[in-house]
Amino acid sequence: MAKKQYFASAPGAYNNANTNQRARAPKRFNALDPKSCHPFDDNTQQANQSIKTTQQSFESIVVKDSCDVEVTTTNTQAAVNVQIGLQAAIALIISISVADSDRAEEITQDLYEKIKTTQINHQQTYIENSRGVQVTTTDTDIAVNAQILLQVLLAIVARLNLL
Amino acid sequence: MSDQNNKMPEDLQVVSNKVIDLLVDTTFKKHDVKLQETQVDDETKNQLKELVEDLQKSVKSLQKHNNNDN
Repeated sequence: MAKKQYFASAPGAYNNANTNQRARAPKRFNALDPKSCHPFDDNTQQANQSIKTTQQSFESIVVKDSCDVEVTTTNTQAAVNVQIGLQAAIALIISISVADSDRAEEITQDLYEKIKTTQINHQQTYIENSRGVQVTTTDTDIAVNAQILLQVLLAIVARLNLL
Repeated sequence: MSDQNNKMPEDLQVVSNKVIDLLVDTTFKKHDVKLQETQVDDETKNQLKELVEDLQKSVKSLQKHNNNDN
């Protein structure tokens, strides 16, 4: 009897315990189904946002088929905030110092572009089929980046004889 | 993780300072920025000074924070 069920093509033919397990498991992504949400979708949005504001940090965390997973990324956030502050200060000081606003913008862009190339940080965490996992990501690169931006700021301030 | 991940080693710091000096110098030169052309009043100067000091503190505390965590 059991063998007969196993060979049946309909999913309902599996025994009860199996069917329950299947129902609980997340639905597999189907590219052809417009309603199907890709596992990367949720996190990509967040990464996009941080790229926009900082243009430096790319972080992607994928949690799949797992439970009791704790992810902490607060340090990156703190570092990003400091970085934004530094970038704003650099832009501000240049805009104060250079009367022509178009030129000020160009100078700021120029500086950022040159710094940017050394500052891209990729961080990818993939958790699959895990239980009770605790992940803390500390973006040490971004702390160094904040230091570099601070040096740039100090160099500009010194050159423009602002302080 | 060790301290070195968060703080640059001293020799690298010297190189990094030079690179940044050069970067700022060449960028200013490229855009023909005359040094000391800025005329800001004392109040703005003080505000900017405070801002830079605050940011310096933030960066320092960030590094301390990261070191403590690791």
